[in-house]
This record gives sequence, C-alpha cells and structure tokens, in this order.
Amino acid sequence: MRRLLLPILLLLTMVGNAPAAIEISAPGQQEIPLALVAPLPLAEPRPALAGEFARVLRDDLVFSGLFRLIDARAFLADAGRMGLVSIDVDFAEWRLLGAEMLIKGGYRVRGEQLIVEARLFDVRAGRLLDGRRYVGRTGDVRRIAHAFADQVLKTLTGRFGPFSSRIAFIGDQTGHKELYLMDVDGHNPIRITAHRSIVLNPDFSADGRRILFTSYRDGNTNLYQKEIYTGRERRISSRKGLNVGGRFSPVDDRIALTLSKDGNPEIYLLSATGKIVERLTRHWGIDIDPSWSPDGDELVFVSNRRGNPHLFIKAPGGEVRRLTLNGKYNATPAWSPTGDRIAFSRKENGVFDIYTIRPDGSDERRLTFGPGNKEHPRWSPDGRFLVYSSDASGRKEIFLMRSDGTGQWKISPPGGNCNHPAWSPRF
Amino acid sequence: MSRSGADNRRWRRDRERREPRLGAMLGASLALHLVLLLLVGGHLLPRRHQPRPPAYVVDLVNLPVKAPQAGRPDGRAKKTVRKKSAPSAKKLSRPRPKPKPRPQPQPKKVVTRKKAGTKPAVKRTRPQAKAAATRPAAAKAPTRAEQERLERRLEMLRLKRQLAALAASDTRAGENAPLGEEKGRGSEQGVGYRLWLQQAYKEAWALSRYQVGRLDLEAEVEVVYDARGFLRDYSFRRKSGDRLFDDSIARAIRSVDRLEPPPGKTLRETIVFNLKDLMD
Repeated sequence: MRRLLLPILLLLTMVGNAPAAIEISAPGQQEIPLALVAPLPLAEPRPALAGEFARVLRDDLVFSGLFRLIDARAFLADAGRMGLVSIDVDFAEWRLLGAEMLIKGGYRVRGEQLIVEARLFDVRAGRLLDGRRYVGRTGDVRRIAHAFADQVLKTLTGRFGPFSSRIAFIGDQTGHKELYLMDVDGHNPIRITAHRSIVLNPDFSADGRRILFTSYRDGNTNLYQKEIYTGRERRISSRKGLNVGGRFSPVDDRIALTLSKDGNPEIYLLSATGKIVERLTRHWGIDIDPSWSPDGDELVFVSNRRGNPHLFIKAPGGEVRRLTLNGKYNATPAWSPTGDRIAFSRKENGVFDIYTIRPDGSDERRLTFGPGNKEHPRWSPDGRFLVYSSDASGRKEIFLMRSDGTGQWKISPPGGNCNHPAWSPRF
Repeated sequence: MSRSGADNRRWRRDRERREPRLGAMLGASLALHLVLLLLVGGHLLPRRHQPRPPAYVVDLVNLPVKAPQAGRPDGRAKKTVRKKSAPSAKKLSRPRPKPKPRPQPQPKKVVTRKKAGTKPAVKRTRPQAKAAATRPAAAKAPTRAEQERLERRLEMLRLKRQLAALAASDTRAGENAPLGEEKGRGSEQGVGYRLWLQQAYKEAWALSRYQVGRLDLEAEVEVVYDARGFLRDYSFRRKSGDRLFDDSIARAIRSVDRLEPPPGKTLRETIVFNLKDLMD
C-alpha cells in the first residue's frame, strides 16, 4: 500500500501544478475578410456585365453578414491577373491585405451567350475551395451572380444561400392589389395576377411551382392557386364566408386555411383539390393565420380564445397549447424552416414590430425597433433571413433582415405599396 | 350661528388673501408644464445606456518574456506618460494662484483648510465616542433607543475604519504599476508567453457567427513551439464536431507559426477555443 501511495501523491502534485489551458472565448475577427475581384475578360471585354456580376455578388455576400469586404482600391497586381487555378494566384499579396478568402474569375461573351468562371480561394491555405462555370444568356448575369453567392455560402457554412429564390408580394402599382414576383434583391418585379380586385396572403408550395393566394375577384374571399411556370390559375376554395390564409404543407399537398362557412372562423385542412380533409379547431374564438412546422406535424395559428389575439400551437395529438404570453396583440406567425423559431408581429403602443420565439415559448426576442408597422414576417428557405413589410416611410415597403434583426435592407420596387411578402423555396 | 356683518367682511378678506392670485396661478402652471416637458424630453429622468460591444485590447507594444514581473498585463505605457505630464500641466497652471498665496493670508488659509479637512473626521469620531462613553455617567438614565443609536454609530465608524484599512492594503495593479502580469513573480518587464499567445490566437481567429449553426461549440488544441519560436506541431485534443469551427481554429493556429522573440525552450500549451462571448 505504501508503495502505491508515493506515486499517487506524486501524480496528484503534478496534476495540481499543470498549467491551465489558455481560453479564447470569441474570434478576434467575426467577419471573414474577403477580397472580391470583378471577373476579368477571357475574350472581348464587357465591363458593364462584369461590373453587374460583381455588384450583385457583393451585395448578397455582404448581406449574409459573413464577410467584411476588403477595399478594392487596396488591391495589388494580382487583382489584374487571371487566376483560375491556385498556382496562378499570388496568395502572398492577398495575405498582405489581410484577406482570408478571395473570389476571382473570368467571363466570355459569344453573341447572346455568357460564360462565367468563378472561383473561391482560401488565402491562408493557398488553395481552391470552390469553382463553378455558369453558362447562360447575357441577361442572366444577375441570376448567375446570385447562384454563385449561394454556392459560396454553401462552401463556407454547409448550407446553400437563399439568393436564387424569389419573393412574392402584393403591390398596388396598377391601382388594384395584385400579386407580383421579384428577385431576392428586389430586381425584376413582374405582375402575375390581373384580378383587378384585392389579392392577399400569397404562399409557395414546397416545390416552388405553385402559389396560393386569396382574392376578392368574385365578391367573396376565395382561395386560388396559380402555377408559376404555366400561369394556369385555379380556384381551390370558394365556400361561403372567409377562405383566407392558405398555407401549403411542407411535406405534402395539404393546405391549411381559415374558413368561416359555419359563421365562426376556424382552421381546416384541405386536399390539393380543395376538399375538406379535417377540421383542426373547434372554438368560439376566431382562429386564423396558420403556419406549418417544417416536419408538417404541428401548426401555429392566431386565436383570440383567451381574450386578445395570441399565438397557439396545434400539436399532433389534437390538443392546443398557448405559445405567447406577452403583449396584447400577436399576429401573422411564421415557423422557420429550421424549426427552432417562430417569427410573428406584435402590436405594442399602437405599432407592430417583429419578434421571434422558440416553439416551447421560451427566449422571446424583439427584432425590429423604430417608427412604422413591421408586419408579415416570412423566413428565407435556409432560415437565415426574414422578409417583412414596413410602413415607416409612409408607404408600405418590403425589407429583408438577418434572423437576428441586423442588416435591414429595403428591396421593394419603387412606386405604390408593397406588402404580404412570401419567400419561395430555392429553385 | 349666523355671523355678524364685521365677521363676514373679515371672513371674505381672509378668503381673498388665502386664494392664490391669477399671476401666481399662471406661474405655477408654467412651472408645472416646464417640469412635464423636461420629464417627457428625458432631461430629468435617467436615460438607459446600451451596453457597448466588447472592445478587444490588442497588445502591439509588449514583447513576450519568460518570467514576467508583477504588474499590469496591458501595455498602457502611454497613460503613465500622460500622467507624468499631467502634473507638469498642473504646475504650469499653479504659478497663477501662487502669487496670491505669497501674501501672508495664504498660508493661514492653507492651515484653515487643513483644519477643515481633518477636524470633521476627528470631531465625528471622538465626540461620538466620548458621548457614548460619558453620557451614561452624566445623564441620569439614557434611554435604550439612545444607547442603540450610539452603538450603531460606533459600529459604523468601526466598519469605515476597517474598509479604509482594506482599501489601503489593496495590492491590485494600478495605473502606475510596472508592466508585467498580475500574478507575475519574475523580474522581466512585459507579458508572459501565455498572455501573448492568447492575444495572438484571438487576433488570428476569423469566424463569423453566421457561419456556424450553434454557439455552444468548443475545441481543445495542443500546440508545440520549439526553442526558436517556430510552430512544430499542433493536434486537436477535443474537436467541436463542427467542421467549419474546427477548420477556422486550424487556420488560426497555422497563422501564428512563429513566436517573437523565441522562447528559448520548447513551449507546449493547451488552448481552448469557444464562442462564449458571442452568446447572448
């Protein structure tokens, strides 16, 4: 026993004297320093096209919150040299500028055809991280830039970005509230309905090919579906009273919506053809605005069954549990595609602001501040960003922001009011 | 119970006197409105200050040393220089008042000031102590409340003295403390390699919070530098499980590939990387 005691005591003293580990509790650089070089011509130069590509890519990457762009005026000789493979890049120059990542590339125009070669390099390791060749028309330069921005995010985070998706919204530029589609950065808005009435509450199907909306065209609030690529339109539900707030299930073709055919607004499930599959709520209170959980098992909705409008969750077993306890007016919930948070708008002191909350009712966070009503939040397909409408400027406009409320970016086209945004899945 | 005519007149006169005049009313109203405006404007109520984002001190002045002395770990050498210059500025400003003290009354003033400065402290302590000691004898029967009050005062005085003694014995590094580490025992001026390494790795570590899905990630790495200060080896003792997080750490370690000046002996350190400061 004595033989063992001495080594044990020695060990204990050694452990006691061992220096503690050095702890580093946050990175010193919380944005990745990125050098973005506009693509260089592989044949006949078209500076306008190269500039447009670089601008769109830069806006997307900066909005992502991941990067800090290095001033292009500081670029050295390597920025003017084509570098599509690692050995052609002088990484020492970029290290000197403090860059961690580098985007370089080239482009070629043949008639109407545009070929863009884009590369992402790790400067410190001196290696190629990702490279893509995009072939399209000269008019597709913005789409190509968005696609490469998504690819950069995929490489550096493991998840694609949402910049190749589109945003539906309701605009009154024609004097009537019609349904529009635009790029994520607000470019190329196109009108896709001509109901000459009031269109509301758009929502995309999981495959992004169909869009649901409510219209007053026939004098009643009916639910319609439109196929985006063919333009074919179909009335899904035209029951007496309200047929509003239709939301496609993320896992199948079922549609959750509010019907008031029996007098009181309740939430129902419809099949793709509009047949009632199930009545989900049965209460004297008003139940509206359903939104699916990403697994399609639960629904969050608004109800005034406890007096004021609050959020409730309909669980698979059929029971309904209350989600929000604060505020007196909570509305327009949207469950994030990652499933961890629910965004909604809350009216306080006469003004709506955007909040998020965990599905278990914990960790409520306010995301927007300042004047104007911020309403109708919807998540990007990757769950990183939110789109919402705001009337802070006097007219309703559409904004994007990161899921923590930072980086607010106005994207709505000029003229008229724009609201009720909905973010499409990634095409 | 009816009043006489004279009583009535007196009562009316008194009432008129008691009632505030129009001017006074207007003045009061104006004052009230002013106070309300100041309250609404936030001039009277304390404003909430949003906490500033954390500022990271990057030590670009100090070189790492093997045996740091006790002192300040941060290189605030400039502040001490300023402090040295500050008294000179005071000296420059003093000559103006100095001519005044030259006439005789000045020294007296100084004396009186000193008295004024010292006396209250003495007065506060002694008379109370005396009172506490003498009163019971002088007064016939000091009430319990008085006794308790005196005891409380004495207790407060005792506590104040204890606090003053504690403050005097505070050994924490102050502004003028020499450059070194708070717990340093050596003789060299500057920070130890561990503190220097911590700053160097922090500076070199680039990771966006938007890059990782969770903020509760942690990884532990062992790094080895040779006597000449070159990075010889590094290995993950514990990975976080997030590839991007671990890659960013590897990049940071590779970028701190040389210690300057060389440590002179093999340096083996364990470094824990986490995102605690980014958590809400």
